[in-house]
Amino acid sequence: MELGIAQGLLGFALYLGTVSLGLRLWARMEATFLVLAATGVDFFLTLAVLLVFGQSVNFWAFAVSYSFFVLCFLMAFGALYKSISLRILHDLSKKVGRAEIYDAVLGRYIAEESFQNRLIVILRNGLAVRVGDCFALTERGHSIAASMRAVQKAFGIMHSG
Amino acid sequence: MSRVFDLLDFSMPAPLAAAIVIALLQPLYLWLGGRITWLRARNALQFLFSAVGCTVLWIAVVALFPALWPRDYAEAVLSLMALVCGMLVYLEIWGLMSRGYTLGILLTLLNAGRPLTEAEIAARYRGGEGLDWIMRHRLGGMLAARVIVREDDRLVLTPVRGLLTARLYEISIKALGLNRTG
Repeated sequence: MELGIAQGLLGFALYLGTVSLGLRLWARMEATFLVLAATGVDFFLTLAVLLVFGQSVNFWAFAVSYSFFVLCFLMAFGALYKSISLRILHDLSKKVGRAEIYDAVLGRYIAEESFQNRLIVILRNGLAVRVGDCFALTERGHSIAASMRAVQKAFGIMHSG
Repeated sequence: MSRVFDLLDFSMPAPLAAAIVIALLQPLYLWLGGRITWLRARNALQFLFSAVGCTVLWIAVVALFPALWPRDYAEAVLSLMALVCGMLVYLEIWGLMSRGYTLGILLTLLNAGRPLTEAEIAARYRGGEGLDWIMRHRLGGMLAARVIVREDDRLVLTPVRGLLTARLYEISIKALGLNRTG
């Protein structure tokens, strides 16, 4: 079992290398897709390498150990990649006096970039369409939103956002 | 080829199997959490309740059945890793369900029952709290973590925690080779 933990850690090291290299080589590719695709590729690659080199592998010990390290990384990656708060902090550190007017921050990060980006994502994925100046849910968007609302209700989640 | 596969062992230690089953049932503990009045609408606390429930249940089950006792520390560590894996997967889903920005916009449109303009979506976001809620929520977290302070109408980065966090973020982004975030 100890060996399984070490083998999982080895797989994770390979995964980190793949992600780090991949994000530089394929900078135009969606980063989220790349980090997720690499999880499966490196899992089987590490397993194959270990077996080819004559190492005995307990599948479950390896799988749990690898998944643990990769999931910890993905949580940190998600925070780095999607966090508005971290971006605000970073941009503030570049400003004169490391300060900015509150309304300017609200306008730029929430109203313009973030909100607009989400509206584009919704339109691009066919969840809503533009009707004149308005946004209307498509049949698919309506069905997804209604399902999510039902799940939220079942789990006692009052709002999303 | 068959010799290579002989090296692959699919036997699963009993405490690990117990951990996987208990972790898979986490939605049940989340659902139970939603039935407790003081946990309703406190999503982070509700998740913490389910995570603690998972861990306590695993310890109780393993302690009660000697057949499930870990044979060595590695089996115990692996079982805890499996529990944490389950928690992280559900945390990601839970985060999307309770804090999803895009989902929030879809639900705003659904709840309105009619097409909305951009301004109307912004105003009705999160049950009428408006788009400002996101900023208030994020700022509340940053002020509580003391990475920024508010001086009149300005937001100011704190010289130690704030600057350190910003620098660590910058280093991480560069190390990963990310061009764009947010």
